[in-house]
Amino acid sequence: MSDHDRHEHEAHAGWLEQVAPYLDDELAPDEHRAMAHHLTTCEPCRRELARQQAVSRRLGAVAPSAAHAASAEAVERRLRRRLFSSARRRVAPRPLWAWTGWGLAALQACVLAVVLGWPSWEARQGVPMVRDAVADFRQRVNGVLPPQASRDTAELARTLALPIEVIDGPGVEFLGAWPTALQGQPAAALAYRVEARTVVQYVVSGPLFFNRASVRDAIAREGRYVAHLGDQAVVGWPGDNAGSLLVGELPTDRLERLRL
Amino acid sequence: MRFLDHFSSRERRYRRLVQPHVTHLVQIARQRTGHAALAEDLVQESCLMAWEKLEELRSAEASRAWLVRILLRQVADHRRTRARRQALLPITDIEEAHWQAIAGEAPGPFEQAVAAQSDGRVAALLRRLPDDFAIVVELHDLMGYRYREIAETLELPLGTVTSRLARGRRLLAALLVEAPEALEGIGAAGEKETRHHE
Repeated sequence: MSDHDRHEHEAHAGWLEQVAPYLDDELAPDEHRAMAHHLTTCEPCRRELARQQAVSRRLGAVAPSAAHAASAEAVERRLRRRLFSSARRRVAPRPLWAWTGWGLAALQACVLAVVLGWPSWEARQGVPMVRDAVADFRQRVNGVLPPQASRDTAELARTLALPIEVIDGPGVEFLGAWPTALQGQPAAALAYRVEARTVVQYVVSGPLFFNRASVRDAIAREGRYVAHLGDQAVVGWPGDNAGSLLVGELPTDRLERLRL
Repeated sequence: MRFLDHFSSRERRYRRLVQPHVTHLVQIARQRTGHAALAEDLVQESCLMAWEKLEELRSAEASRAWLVRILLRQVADHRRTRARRQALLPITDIEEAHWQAIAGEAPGPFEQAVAAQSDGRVAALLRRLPDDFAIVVELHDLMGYRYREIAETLELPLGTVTSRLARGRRLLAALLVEAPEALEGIGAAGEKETRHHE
């Protein structure tokens, strides 16, 4: 570039800086008019405009990838598992004062148990919801699903007004879902095949899930509820105004890993 | 039921303020990194950070900009700590060539050359620009942000956005019409470049 050209460009520096906002319709009306007028007389600014426009148009024509949607779904799935399960308690712990109420309730329960010599009714009988879940599971332990079982969980979720999320992951095969009842309240049952065994997830409403103090305390302490009834292990965790119980003849840590 | 309400209200807030923007964040992350899996990880980390800091977000209107800032910090941190450094561009040389070109060229061939580039090449060359320029160009020309939205998102003055967008396009224009063999040498030539971004 000669000195003359360079001088000309420097003189045009102010105009050149206006080219992009002119192209992008980001100038005030009077600035826009002035720039339009300048362009009629300035060849370098017209070429700069043409270049900026060519690049902008080419970028605007870059096709949005369908892969973005698939990626976003994958991320959302992973986040749901991490955030809306017990893990979120670790990520966003409750403030200390918020636990006071639960602490007092637990203390009262302990005092009552000691004073009355009451060896925990639930310890002997089990939480009714869990007992029902295990009883229902025992009918399915051989992998035979009821006739109304379907893979359409969306329809089941609508019918029962429960948020149903199917567990997926390596080695987990979803077999089907059907409506059932625990403690006389509607619940969704979802059967899976894991390590050649049947595992059933029961989704219940929040009020039913948190109905028993032992469940509430376990969730508050550990973020999950774990129990054993006979050969069956049970792992429970809260969901979106709901709760899930996973029942199977597998070690509880294996059951816990399924939902992560 | 207070126990349930505590989590469900946080969850509702997250679903309302963060979840709707995940696809947009993925789009930005994929363009910034060029790697699907890495982009997903960075978006996931950003959303987890957003979950932790959800109390800091005061309005729904500000949520997208807030999330994009978190994501861009994640991308920058990743680059600083783990990723290969960006090959440096000889910015001043490229801009000088640009001015020479617009002083002497006949209209037509440049536009044709740019239009003939594949999407993949355009996206890859955009990633070769310094981040400061590339992010502004991506937000405007790929994602349709207005100047003011970019300024708010990146917390920059409007004049800086205007300048970075114009310069970013000029740099990209130069890269798009460079012969591939000439581009190979750009990283080495970058040793002498001056990266004055403002």
